This record gives sequence, structure tokens and C-alpha cells, in this order.
Amino acid sequence: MHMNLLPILLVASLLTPLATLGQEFRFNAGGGPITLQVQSATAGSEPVDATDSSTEIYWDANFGVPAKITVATLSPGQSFRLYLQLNVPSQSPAGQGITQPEIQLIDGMLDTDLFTDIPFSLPGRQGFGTLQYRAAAIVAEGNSNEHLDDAHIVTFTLLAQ
Amino acid sequence: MRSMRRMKTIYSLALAWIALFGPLSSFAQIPPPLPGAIQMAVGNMTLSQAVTVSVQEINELSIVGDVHLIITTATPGSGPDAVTDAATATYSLTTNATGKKIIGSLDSNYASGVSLSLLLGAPSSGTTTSQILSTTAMDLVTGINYSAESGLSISYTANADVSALPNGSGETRTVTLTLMDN
Repeated sequence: MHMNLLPILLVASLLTPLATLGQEFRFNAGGGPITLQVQSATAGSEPVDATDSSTEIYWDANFGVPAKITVATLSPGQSFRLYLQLNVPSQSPAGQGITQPEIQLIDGMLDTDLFTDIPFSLPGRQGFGTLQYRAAAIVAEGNSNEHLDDAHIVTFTLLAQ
Repeated sequence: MRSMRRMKTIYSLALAWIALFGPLSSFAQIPPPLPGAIQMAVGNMTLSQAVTVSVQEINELSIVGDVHLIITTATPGSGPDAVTDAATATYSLTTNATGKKIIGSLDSNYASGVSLSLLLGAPSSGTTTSQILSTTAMDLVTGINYSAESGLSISYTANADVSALPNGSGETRTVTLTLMDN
């Protein structure tokens, strides 16, 4: 009886890991809170945008199917404009996919494609890219003394496409 | 006996597989949880980042153009004719706040009998007033709100009464404009 079950258990133990594919999605650099300050202008012109490119993300989209990265934000009472683009080095065989144009992050937005068509096989399924944030505020939008700062929680999702 | 052989065969195949490719779990391994990473039930993974956008109050003002006014004529029976230049100098301003004004002053007064008036072109918000400049700052534009405009006019008018003495190549003064709270 036991001898009959053993081969089955052995085969099952070998095959079980196949049922779960491993993905990885993490900050490669930065990832902590960041602040963009719009604080200067040339007289006669609109304020100069503030940018931040200190955050890098890494992914291994081991879903067995093409995958993508989406972005959304929550910022109740948002007053100013915030944009995001993912810049992926193109010279590497890793990090294949399609970069989307700069996205405006608006409070309560639906998950929006940031990087799509990530291959399901190596090396293309693994990659990294720099998150480039850009904050903008024209004079008519006022300042933080009037409206307070905008506090965003930006969420990135790696998922099967 | 037959089951023993079958088991050996399976073991052999398994060992051969492991020898050739390693344990299956090595390429289907789920990495340990990483800081900031959340494994979701459906396999999606998320990362979150706090991003604060802060917009400081910005107030910028600039002037372009030096002006040279020469009083040379007079109508008989009247004082010297005033001279105006409204084309040489312009100013630009940016403010992302409300309730601002522009004041103006001279670094030192002109000699007795000579005066300089200034009228600034109005930005889209704000009320302008012509003022005779002196070392005491005076309101030139009040009620400025949220403005980013350039090339706004500056009109200078030089006046001299009959008591003014000829001053050769002229008296140079510096006009200072300041953008500030109302």
C-alpha cells in the first residue's frame, strides 16, 4: 500500500512547484516618500515644473503570459498636476515592453497602463525602469499656502495582461 | 516486485531530471517577501509610494529697458513741455498668489523743479495709478491676483518747471519696483 503511494507522492512533490509561478516587483532604488517642490519662475512666465527621477523599479513578470504595469493614485482634494512616465533602458535585452506616454496622475483614477506587453519568457520578462515624476502648477492654480500640499499615494501593479 | 521496479524507474528518472535541470522548485521559486511588495491573491503584485507636491508662493518681477528723457522745448507763456516715453521699457511679473501690489520709488529725488511720473500698464488683474516718483515708495498697481504676464508697458513722463536749472547731460536715477502684499 505504502509502496504504491510513494511514487505518486514523489511525482506530486516534484510537480507541485510548477503550479505557482514566481513574480518579483520591487523598488530597485529609492521608493521612499518623495516631495516635488514647484518653487521658481521667470518673471512673466508660468512656474517651472518640478521633477524627480530618484525611484527605480524592478520586475520579473513570471506569469507565463504577457504582463503589464499599471499605475493609479489617491490624493483627496488634489489641487496641482502630477505626471509620471516610466523610462526603461532600451539597450538591454531585458526590460522589453511598450512604454506608455507620460500619464497624468489624478485622484481616484482607474489603474492606467504604464508599461505593457512584457514578454513571458526570459530575458525580456525581467526589467527595470526609472519613474520620472513631474509636478506642474500654473499661477491660476495658486499655491500650497492656499490649498495645502497634494499628498499622493501612488500604486503600481504588476499583473498578467 | 513489479511495483519496486516501477518505483526504481521513477526514482531514476527523477534523479536524472534533478541532475540535468536541478529541482523543479529552483526555477519556479517564489522569492521571500520584499519590503514594500505585496503578493496578491491573483498573483498581481503592487508597490506604493508617497508623493507630495508642494507649490511655494512665487513672486517675480523684472524690468527691461533704460529710459533717457530730454526736456528741450516750451510753449511761450507756459513751463517746459513734458516728455513721455512709453515704448522703451517694459516689465514682467509672475505671481501665483492673490492680493499683491507693485510699488515704486527713486534712489534719490531729482533736483528742485524736476519730477518723474510713472504709469505702469495694467496686468489682467489689478488697478494702475500714475504717480510722481520720490524716495518714498508709492502704489503703482494694486489688487494683483494670479498673474504671469510679460511685456507690460512702462510709461515715464519727465516734467520740469521754470525753476528747474539746466542740468547738462541729465540726472540719472534708479527706479525700483517691488512686488509685495497689498
